[in-house]
Amino acid sequence: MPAFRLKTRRGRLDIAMATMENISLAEDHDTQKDKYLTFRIGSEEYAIAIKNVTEIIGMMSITEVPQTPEYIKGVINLRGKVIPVMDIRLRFAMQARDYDERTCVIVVRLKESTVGLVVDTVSEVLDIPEENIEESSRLNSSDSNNFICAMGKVEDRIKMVIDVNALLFRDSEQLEQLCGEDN
Amino acid sequence: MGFDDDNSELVEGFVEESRDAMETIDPLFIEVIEGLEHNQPIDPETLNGIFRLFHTMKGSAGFLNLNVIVSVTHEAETLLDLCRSGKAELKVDYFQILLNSCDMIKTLLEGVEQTGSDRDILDVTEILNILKQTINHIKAPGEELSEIEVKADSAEDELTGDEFSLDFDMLSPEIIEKFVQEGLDLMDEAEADLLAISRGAAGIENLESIFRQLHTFKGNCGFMSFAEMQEVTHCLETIIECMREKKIACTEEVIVTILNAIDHLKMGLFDLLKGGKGKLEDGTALIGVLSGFKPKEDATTVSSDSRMTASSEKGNEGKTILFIEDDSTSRTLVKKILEKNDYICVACQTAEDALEVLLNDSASIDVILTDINLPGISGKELITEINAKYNSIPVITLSGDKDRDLLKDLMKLEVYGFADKPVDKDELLKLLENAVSHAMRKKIQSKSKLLDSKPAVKNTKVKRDIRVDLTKLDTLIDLVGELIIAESMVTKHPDLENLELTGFERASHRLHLITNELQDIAMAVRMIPVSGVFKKMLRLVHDVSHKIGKPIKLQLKGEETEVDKAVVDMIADPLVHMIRNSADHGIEMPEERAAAGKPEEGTIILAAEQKASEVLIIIQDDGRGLNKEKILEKSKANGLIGENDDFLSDQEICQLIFEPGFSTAAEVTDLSGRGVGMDVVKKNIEKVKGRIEIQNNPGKGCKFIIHIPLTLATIEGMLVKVGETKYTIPITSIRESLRPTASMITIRPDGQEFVKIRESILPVFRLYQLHDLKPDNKDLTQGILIVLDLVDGAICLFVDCILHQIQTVIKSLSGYMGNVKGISGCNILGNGEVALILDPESILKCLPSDLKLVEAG
Repeated sequence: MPAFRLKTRRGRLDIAMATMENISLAEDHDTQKDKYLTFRIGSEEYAIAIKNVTEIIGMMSITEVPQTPEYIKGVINLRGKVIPVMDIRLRFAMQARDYDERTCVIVVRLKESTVGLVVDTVSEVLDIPEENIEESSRLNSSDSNNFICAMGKVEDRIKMVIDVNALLFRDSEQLEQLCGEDN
Repeated sequence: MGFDDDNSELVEGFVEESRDAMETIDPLFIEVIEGLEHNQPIDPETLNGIFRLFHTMKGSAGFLNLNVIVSVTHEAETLLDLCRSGKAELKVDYFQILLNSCDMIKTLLEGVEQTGSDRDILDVTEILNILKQTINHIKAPGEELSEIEVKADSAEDELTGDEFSLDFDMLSPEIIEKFVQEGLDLMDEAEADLLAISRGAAGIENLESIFRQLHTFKGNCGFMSFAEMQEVTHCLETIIECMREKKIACTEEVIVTILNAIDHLKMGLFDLLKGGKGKLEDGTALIGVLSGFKPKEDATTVSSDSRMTASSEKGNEGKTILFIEDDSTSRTLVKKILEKNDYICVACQTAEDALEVLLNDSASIDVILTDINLPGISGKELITEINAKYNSIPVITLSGDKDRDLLKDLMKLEVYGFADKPVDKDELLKLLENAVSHAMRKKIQSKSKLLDSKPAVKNTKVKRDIRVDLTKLDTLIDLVGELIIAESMVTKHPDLENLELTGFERASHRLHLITNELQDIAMAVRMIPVSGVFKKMLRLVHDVSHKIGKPIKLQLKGEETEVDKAVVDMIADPLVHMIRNSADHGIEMPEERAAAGKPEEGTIILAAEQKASEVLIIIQDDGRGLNKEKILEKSKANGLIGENDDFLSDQEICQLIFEPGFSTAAEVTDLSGRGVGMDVVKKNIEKVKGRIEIQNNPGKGCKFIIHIPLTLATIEGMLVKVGETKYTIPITSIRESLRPTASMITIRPDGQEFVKIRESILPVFRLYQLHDLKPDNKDLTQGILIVLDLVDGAICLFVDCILHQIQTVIKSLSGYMGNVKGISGCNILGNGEVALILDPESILKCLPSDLKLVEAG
């Protein structure tokens, strides 16, 4: 359940959260199938499988941690649990952007790791049926696309589906090296 | 019988318990073996203790159909029984065999834990044969008996050897379990009834119900041939019967004694359940105490007239009364009255005299009769003194004063009774008599208290505890941590700033007290004594000393010191390495020792003590100490240090032994010398945020001191700020903090700054440089220097300012981020922000390389 309801005009976000709540209450994996949380970075829309998302929180104060890669902004206190926060813009090697009131942190969980992802804004929870998903291997070009595993077609728009595993763990050896071996 | 799910819990419990038992047995064996080697008499209780533990295990294993364990424990038990009954001469060999079987059992237990069965784990026939041969050899030297005969014989031995076993072995575990269950239920009911009586809320029917329960239990005991329990129950039954017929008053003393006895019975039952023989601790003494209640019924039941004579004939005879009175007429008078009634009267003029009498022989004084107005020490003071030192002696005051306040004061002093002056003979005698019987009861009570305290010490296993899953505990501790954070988030909420809320303040203070206590308790739950780990070392030293032929004694100190369970688990392995090293490398061969004028037997001291928030574990040997030259030479040969690194300090040289691949041993033995070990030790110790200090004394020995934080879960720290970032620095490594003046600062041509604090010159490191931060100021004289005590010496850390001191729960810095050098974790501040916890020891390791050069030079 979202711990932190944003008391703003962002009706859409509230809807997204409410939908998530319903989904997690159902506790059934089938209901999570084909469901994606969409968010926006710049003008593009991205989607992330709902089964990986635990909650969405507003921006809070981040404590910087030395000797970590640039895209790891630091750590935050999530109700007593300290989790690292990754700025997706920096991870995608995009231009950094100042955080504003629409900036959100999507908390994802994979392989026992809980990580917060900073995104420009969260949009909504969407159903994207399997037949509308297109593997993106042939669309791959540059390195920053490495984290996109598929394209989802919703009406006439396209949502890029994030490969959470790659996002979190690719180059993690390099990450570890940066964190641990830096003398 | 296969092991289904229902049994797995039982098996788990069995393995756990048996491991504990094995750990208890090891040191006992060592004690015996050492005793034998030094030709000292062996305490039969030790042998009995070992026997009991084996027997318990055999019983439990039998219940769980672990037949292999049963067979080994049975033979071991038989051998032990021969030893303890004096049929066999005690020989070191026997105990060595037994020790080996212990090892075997340990391996078996591991197998049981994994597979739930003890079959096909290892071949025990060899050890069984050895055991059997030894037994046969003892029983009939030169004559081989068949196995069956041996078994029959050993069973017989048990019968004669232990008066309470009788046909114990014929009782199946199921029957015993049933008996124990029923017995415990009966005892519980009896206890409840007794308590109701002591509250005064009950009548005759409760007594009757107790009587019935005891009677049933007695019958069961009789059927099962537990003679001692039967006897105790019988005594209890008699007392209850007397109470029912109002021959004994239902006083607190009686009830306490009965409850005590019930506790003993319960312990006996628990013992049975664990495969023991249901023998009661101090059973005979208990029976004595219980029977002691009978004579009193005569005194209390006889009518008051005849009581005077009866008591003067029996009860009062030889009862000594200490009488203090400054007025000589009254003293002689009362003395005469007392002596006429067969009391022995010790008369004193002043309180000082009386105290001296008491000091010399307080045991023979039954009652004290004292005047209040005394010269020197007053009566009141005397009574306070007596109450404090000899509180089992009742005091009667004698006073002409009828002052109400005085009376009140005396009541407060718990004076047994008051007599008026001039003395009314009958009244005084009556008072004295009651006081005498009171004194006797008190004596019985204190005896039974003694009884009560003894089993508590001996039977530590029976203390009430529950096994809790460690993860559950950890969750609890986590939650307590959160609670503390949440508490300060609420009470220090920014919305409350500048508000005058006295009521809220009070309430939040109370909350704070409770959360603090909760935290303390939660932490205490995780604390366990180090004795378990220490005791294992006894065995290790024993084995090593035999293998390499050096007599070595291991002394344990401070085993009761408690540390976090995680710490205990972590230090077990390092300790093994370090002790082994001390024994193998540290202690010299006996001849060498003799030549150096040391006792041939080497000593290793393993001690634990708590100092502030650290636990020190000290391993000290009286061997040859570390050889500096050899270490340097080896390190250079192994490339651990450069050829020209001769400037290292002693401490630095000693620390080299912890480098991977280091070994000075000329040849690799099977014990040590491969050069792995000490580096693992260091790594493990560092994992629990500990450090190792070495005090080397060439020729005389070496002392390793392991510093370990008391707990891994909390930290006392100083919160400092650099720019926007907040850091927590462990208070244990802070020596002092100061704002330097310009004159204290020296800058080397290469830019490295130094600060002179009193007589020491310390290098300055700027935290913002180390961690690449934007500080509020870069001027040393505008910020704060924190002097950190590190293993390699002190350094100064430059920060913007100190915020305050905090006690906080350590959180790990998410595993996702890996291990960040210089940071040992993080903690959550009252306002929900996260602060990083600095790791002072490793802070320099994350220096940018150019800075590091400066540091090294």
